[in-house]
Amino acid sequence: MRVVLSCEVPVERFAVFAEMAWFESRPELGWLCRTARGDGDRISSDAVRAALPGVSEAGAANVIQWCTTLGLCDAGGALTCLGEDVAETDEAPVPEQGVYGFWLAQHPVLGRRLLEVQRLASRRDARFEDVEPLEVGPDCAVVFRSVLNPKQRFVVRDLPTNNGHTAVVRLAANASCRLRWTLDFETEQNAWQLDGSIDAQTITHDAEHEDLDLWSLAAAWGTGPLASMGRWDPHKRRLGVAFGGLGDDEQDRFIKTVELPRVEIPGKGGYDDVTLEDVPIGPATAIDAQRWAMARFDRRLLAAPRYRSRDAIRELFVALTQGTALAAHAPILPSHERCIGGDLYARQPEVFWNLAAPVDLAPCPPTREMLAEARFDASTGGEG
Amino acid sequence: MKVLFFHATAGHPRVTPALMGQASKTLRPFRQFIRQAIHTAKERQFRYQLPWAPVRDVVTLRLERLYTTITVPRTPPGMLLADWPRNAHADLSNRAFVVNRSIPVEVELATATPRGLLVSTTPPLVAGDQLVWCGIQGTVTQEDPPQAPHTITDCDGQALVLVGPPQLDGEHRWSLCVDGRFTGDSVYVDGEEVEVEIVTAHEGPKRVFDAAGRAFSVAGMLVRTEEDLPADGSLRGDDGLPYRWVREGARDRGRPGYWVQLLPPADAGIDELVDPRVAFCEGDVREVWSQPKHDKSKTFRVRRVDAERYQLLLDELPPLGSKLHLPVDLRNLYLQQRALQQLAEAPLPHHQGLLRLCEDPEHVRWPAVSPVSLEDDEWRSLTDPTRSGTSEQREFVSKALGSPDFAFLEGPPGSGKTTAICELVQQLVESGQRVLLCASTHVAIDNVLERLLDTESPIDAVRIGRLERVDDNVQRMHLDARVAALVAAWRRLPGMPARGDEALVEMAERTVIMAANLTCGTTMGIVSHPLFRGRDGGVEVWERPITTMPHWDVLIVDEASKTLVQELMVPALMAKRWIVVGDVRQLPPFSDRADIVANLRDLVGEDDQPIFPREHQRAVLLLFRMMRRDVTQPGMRWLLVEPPGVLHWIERELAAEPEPGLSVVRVVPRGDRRSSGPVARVTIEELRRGTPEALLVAAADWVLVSEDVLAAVSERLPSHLLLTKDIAASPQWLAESDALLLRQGWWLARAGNLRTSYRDERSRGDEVSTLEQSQGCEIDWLSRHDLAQELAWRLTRIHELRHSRNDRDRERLRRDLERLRPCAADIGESLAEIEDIGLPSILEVLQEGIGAERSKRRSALTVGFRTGCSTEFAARFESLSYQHRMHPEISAFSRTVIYEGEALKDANTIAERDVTIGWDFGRFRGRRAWLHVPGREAGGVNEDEVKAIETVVCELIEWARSKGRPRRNVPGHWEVACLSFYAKQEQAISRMLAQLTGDQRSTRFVVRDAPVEIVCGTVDRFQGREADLVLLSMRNTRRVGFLDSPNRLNVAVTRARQQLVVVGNADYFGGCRISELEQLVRQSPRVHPPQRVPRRRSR
Repeated sequence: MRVVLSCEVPVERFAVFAEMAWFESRPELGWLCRTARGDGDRISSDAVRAALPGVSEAGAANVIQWCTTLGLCDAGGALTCLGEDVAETDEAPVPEQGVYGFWLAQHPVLGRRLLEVQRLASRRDARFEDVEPLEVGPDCAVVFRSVLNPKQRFVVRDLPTNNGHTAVVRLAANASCRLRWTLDFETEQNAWQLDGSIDAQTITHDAEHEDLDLWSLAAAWGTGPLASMGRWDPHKRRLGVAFGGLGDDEQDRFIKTVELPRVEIPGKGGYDDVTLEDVPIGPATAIDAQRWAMARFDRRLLAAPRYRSRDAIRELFVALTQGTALAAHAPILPSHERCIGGDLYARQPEVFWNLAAPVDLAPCPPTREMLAEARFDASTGGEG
Repeated sequence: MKVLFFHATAGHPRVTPALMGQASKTLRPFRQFIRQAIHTAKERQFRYQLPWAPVRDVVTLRLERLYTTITVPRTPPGMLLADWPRNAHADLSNRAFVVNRSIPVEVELATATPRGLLVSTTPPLVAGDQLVWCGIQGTVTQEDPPQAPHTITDCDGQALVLVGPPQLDGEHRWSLCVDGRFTGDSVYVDGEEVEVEIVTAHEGPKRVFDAAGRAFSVAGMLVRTEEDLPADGSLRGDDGLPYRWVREGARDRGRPGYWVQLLPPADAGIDELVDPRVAFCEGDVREVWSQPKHDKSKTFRVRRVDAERYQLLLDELPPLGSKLHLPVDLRNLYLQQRALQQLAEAPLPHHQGLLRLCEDPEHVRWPAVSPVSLEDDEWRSLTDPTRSGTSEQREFVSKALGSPDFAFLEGPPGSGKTTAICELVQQLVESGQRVLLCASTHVAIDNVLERLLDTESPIDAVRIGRLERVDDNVQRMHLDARVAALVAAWRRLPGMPARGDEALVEMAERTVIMAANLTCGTTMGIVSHPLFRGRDGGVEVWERPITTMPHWDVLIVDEASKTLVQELMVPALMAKRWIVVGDVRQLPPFSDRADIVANLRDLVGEDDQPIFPREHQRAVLLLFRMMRRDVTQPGMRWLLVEPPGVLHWIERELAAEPEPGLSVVRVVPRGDRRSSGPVARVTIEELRRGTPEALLVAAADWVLVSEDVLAAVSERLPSHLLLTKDIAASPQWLAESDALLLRQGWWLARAGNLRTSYRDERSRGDEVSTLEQSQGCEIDWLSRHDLAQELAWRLTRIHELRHSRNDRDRERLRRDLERLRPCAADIGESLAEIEDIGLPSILEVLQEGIGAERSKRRSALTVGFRTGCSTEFAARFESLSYQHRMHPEISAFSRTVIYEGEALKDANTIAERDVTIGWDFGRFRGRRAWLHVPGREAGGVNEDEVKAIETVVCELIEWARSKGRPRRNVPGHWEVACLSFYAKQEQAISRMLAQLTGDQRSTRFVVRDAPVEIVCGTVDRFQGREADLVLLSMRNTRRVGFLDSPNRLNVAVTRARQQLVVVGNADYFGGCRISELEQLVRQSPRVHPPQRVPRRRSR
């Protein structure tokens, strides 16, 4: 089962005074953070002097203070996630203040994510009446990556002001952004990506994934948008459907593509016009199972015409039902008489002779039991 | 998004529009001034040009010590109450009182000895104190000092040979130099085992001498010599210690290049205050050119500078015979422009305090200052409360620590500003703050840094600037030195990933900056800091801010009296708080007259278009000069031959402001008779035809003829016209045999005397009494002067005289300035910008303002912080009223005349120092004396004064030879400063000193076999420095010149610690009508030149 969810992500653009930090190459800090890992995950004076020999004791204290300011360690020197990041990448956040143009996308999957930030020059002025308060800003201390230049990473450290009122000037976004989220239930993988453009430049975004239990999600959908199409069996991860209306292919592959007007992912938003591909299906009832089995049986006889002994017929029936969603209902192979009875001769004389001739002309006629109807045990595949 | 910058910075969103408008209006003139300066600099390209000569092969030798310096304990002499009664009980629970100093003391120890009662107190007693204790009053005397160590042996009993006399290292230790390498922990001193400390770093010698007696100057244990190598064997330093030398490599192998000697300019004016060679050697000169315009192939990189010899190490040798040109430093101007741009357009929240300076003083709300009170044991440098001035210094530090924005410290010379700064820095770094320390001179910076490095405060310092300008004792803190040390340490680190040299250096540089909590550099040199360097790569990117973060918590600006507002802004934008230290009574910022002249020559408006073209300037100059009463006497009529553009502007000027009674006629080509003003026009044709209009020419006071029509009308012009230009010198205008020239020459020779003779006040020649002399005088003056020069010197003089009691000169200069301003163009704003922005310091602006009437809006930058917000200013301001430098007789003059008794009171430390140091030099009747030399200045030099100075210096050297070293820790020699107000006189003194001492440097001279170091310089360069003996050459004998600036005079007479000798013509200055100078003569005992001591060249 697989589904590709997609939706337009609203992007707003505004200018705001902020303290940003761009990640730049700082091998010395990377070296220091790695040394700190081996020193109890703390940036201590000893760690500084071991990593950067030649720095005085007073200097080491200042280095620690600086690392704290950058957020690489806490006030006690303990390495933070950012510090770990620096240890891995040799890139450290270099802070700066100014007015920036933010392209901010908001979506449950993304959060309030900055897609792109541009430094704005002071000469691009705006009228005072354009200034409005910022209601919700981007998440601080979260590392964002530019969707126009994926090598560029940055964090919003603060939105400093001397008066406690953060102000923004709204700008035309000039951006389009779409979220495409692929859920592959079989592999239990999911991945989402953004595409679109910002200021006429194409968005480049490496796929990300969410921590999501897809089968629980399927179960939730089973009682929701899928309920009208059958009954979802969370254990068998299959949708029980009525036989009527199933196409030959759906009957044979036991999967079905489902169109849903809208689905919800708890905490991750709702998606319209969803196509749920390859939904596992099975018969809703034993009658459906019997009809489904016979339909497949008949089609096989017709598709591969040849003389078949009663043994071969029984094997074929077992093959078409056992190991499939039909087996649980143990469909019955009709007796030889019923198989060739009715108007079969009139409708499909070749099939009729393919079944009748091997029995009638057999040197050793099959036993009565062999010719009688048979139900096969779903668990063993043997006759029940 | 200017509005968002201001929104974040404003104290309340509602005030954002007002703040934006105020910042823009207040800073606009500053930005216009810088725009003008940049425009001029681009046009001008270079500042000075100088001749040069190649320096012969230079070899660098590194000195290595052949001795070890150790220190051993010394018991300091105690204090005795000699007349303590034998049977009196010494009760330690009683407090004692020092009567003469009015301070209580606690007696901690009292031991009866045969010589009296030995006492130890807190605070300590000094000899001569009158102590009352346990009901007994007695005089305190000092015990005899302990004997110096005599016999030193190591632990194995091996004798250690002393290679010099034991020296005091503070009160409690002896410093000993022992022959060879010593590594032990203890020695036996006169039989007693004592612990040893080995001194690894200390001041090296200034000169060394080889076995043949030849002297070599030393800088930082390096000898650079153009001569042959020293003779075989060890060298002996002027500190008496042995050294050996190692050759660093031929021709400075480590620094390939060519040393060139800068020569003094042949055409230097006699009144230059600073030798232009100084400009080549100071600051951050990176390149010189061999031609006036920039051309990559004619550019030479400056690798190193030897300021004491005026030598440059260039990467290539310039073409022989060329001149070296010093390019205008546009980088600093661009940085200033960007700083002002950022403050006006894109301020950051931490700039709120700076923006308050732009607000209307009546409406601005300065936050309250909460002084930080410190306990007695929390003070670091200001530990002695009994020292005069300590309470004021502490008060300042408390305010500075508690101020959310500015703090100001005003301190006269020697008042302890440096100590207060040290204390403040220590307090700041101990509370985890980062400090940027700037001053206008390297000396001021290095003084503070050196003292701070001797403390136990957790200071990690980095020094920015050219390495060779940094004092030897703090060079290890230089950014380059620290980076090199880190790189060297990292290369030994096995785990350090292999990285290229460049990457390692970059990493080390960032590490040094990250680790430093004290950054020091000159106000101009600090722009070499990597934080600035990285951001001014593209100066075309105007919107790029100069700073994006408050990199320092506090900026301390020392010597702020020499720092312009716009210079301060560059580092100020990078800090959150600002401490301004200085003295408005000392020298203002150095403003190169040539820069101002260049600015005035090319005045442009906001659109960069000229607003006062050169031809207009010439016209105004002619009007200024030729409308004097001296040259408009009856019978004096003038022929003005000028380019048509100049005549056009004369017409327009006279139209804008007609001169009553002056009849002017202009001869114009045919048909061009329209004149909109009072200038009549006569065509060439009318002259030829002799029409009635032609009679105007015969009757006019001035006849204006353009150069291009002169030849056509010369024979029709009256012959009794005086000339303002030597037209015979330009044969393209008139032939030598032209009728006009012949007739005019004939007439002039017989024209006779002026009705009233006159003396041109700036002419040093004889009186002008005939028409012929008058013509010669005016031609000469007009050929040598231009309007920009005339405006520039008056603007700077008015500024220099702002504290003078002599209003007469100031008013005369103001009147002159009014007459030099054009009527047909408005340059008032440009002149005001130079006067208000290009000359006064930040300290002056904030304390005194520049005059609200000259600004379109009121702010602390116009009316002054002190004037506009006196209460808020007082909460941030402290003044130091005591001085610790000068003998009371030296300080008395400035105290009474300059500071009017408000400052420069003598500290209680002076008397004590005077007792111990052992100064008894000279036959002068006071510590401040006037050596009367009735000499004569010729060509900018007063040789008689030079000779008088030489005699006194010789006497001092003889005295020092017999006296020995001063009884103090540092400096370990007597310091002499020979100062002059003028560069030419300085050069003459320098030549004399070089000959006298044998030291071939230009500004610093070491005397062999006498503990004397002599420096030579101009007063302007000597601010912030001091010497035991100062010899001040006045030079001028018939005019006051620049000596009437009270600020310059104040600096000049406050440099001496022990003795000030003013050398000059006391008779002239006693009646020069400059109040301060007259008082100096009156108040200084007069002495006459001594018999000359025969010159003895130093061996």
